[in-house]
Amino acid sequence: MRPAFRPERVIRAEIEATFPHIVGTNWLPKSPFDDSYQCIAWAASDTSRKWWPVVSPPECYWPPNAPLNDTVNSFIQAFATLGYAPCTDDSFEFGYQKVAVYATNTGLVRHMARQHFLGKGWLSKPGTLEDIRHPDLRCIEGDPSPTSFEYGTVAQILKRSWLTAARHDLFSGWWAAFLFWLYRKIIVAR
Amino acid sequence: MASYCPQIKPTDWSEPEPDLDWHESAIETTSEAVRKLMLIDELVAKALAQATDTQPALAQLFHEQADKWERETRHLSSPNQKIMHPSYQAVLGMGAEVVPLLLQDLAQNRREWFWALSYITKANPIQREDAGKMDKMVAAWVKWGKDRGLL
Repeated sequence: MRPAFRPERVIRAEIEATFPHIVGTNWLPKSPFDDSYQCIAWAASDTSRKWWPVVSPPECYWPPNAPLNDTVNSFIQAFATLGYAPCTDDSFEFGYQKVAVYATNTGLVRHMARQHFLGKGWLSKPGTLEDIRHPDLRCIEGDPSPTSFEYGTVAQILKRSWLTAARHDLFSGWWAAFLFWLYRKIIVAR
Repeated sequence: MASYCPQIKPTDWSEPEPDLDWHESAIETTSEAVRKLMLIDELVAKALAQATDTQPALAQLFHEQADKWERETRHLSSPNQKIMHPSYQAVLGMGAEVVPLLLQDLAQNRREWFWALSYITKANPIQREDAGKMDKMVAAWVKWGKDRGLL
């Protein structure tokens, strides 16, 4: 699918209906509507494919050797391949990039968000919807029950140094963000 | 002259009476066959009519469930969470008849029916190296469907 640019009022209506805690915050849509990647891929700065530990059929990419299950540990190990390590603090630390793992109260992962490089909130890609920047992690939290269709709560924070980020996917993430910004300026502004 | 062959008088000879039964029984058999054929025709026509009635009903039901599923899960990224939605389960319950509709919907709307297709057809045309790449995964299933005349 070619990325689709929806009017901002449509994006706002859908995102605010999906995430009630985000209403009234200064969140922003940051990309077109695109089904070629999702939250885990965007946390890993990869816009070319979807990431998820799926055994079969192979409908998502998952780093080799990371466990193929939905537990927080599986995601810690997958993101360890990008240089992330567990930490406890979600505040911005100069020189470090962080990601947050959302999970149910039974420890099944539902979502991931990546901290803005300069700490200006968190970046999320909710499924096929537009990337958004939300001011804090609680904005998109929801029912932590494993039978709900929400994101649950933040279960784990991971971090890596900027140097490690530069060795992995930092620039591909920046490039994608720049293209989204450019597209929005040119296409949406028309 | 003694004769070993008795002389046959014209009155001694008579043709056997034509057996009319065969004709009647043949007529009876033919009419029975025709009746059976007509019955078969009737049954086939009824089945066809039923099939023609069922297909739009299945398509309508499928599209209702597919729309609901997309609307309520498109903010989700976990394939495992998405397939647990009641609408996805309802589509799975439609059985093998829904496969052409799944393929058509995958090709047109790119809704992610990969798991349902694999589950129902026991096939898996996606190459491991294409895992997660939507364009390639959709193309693989579309090709699979075309090869089997399902699209």
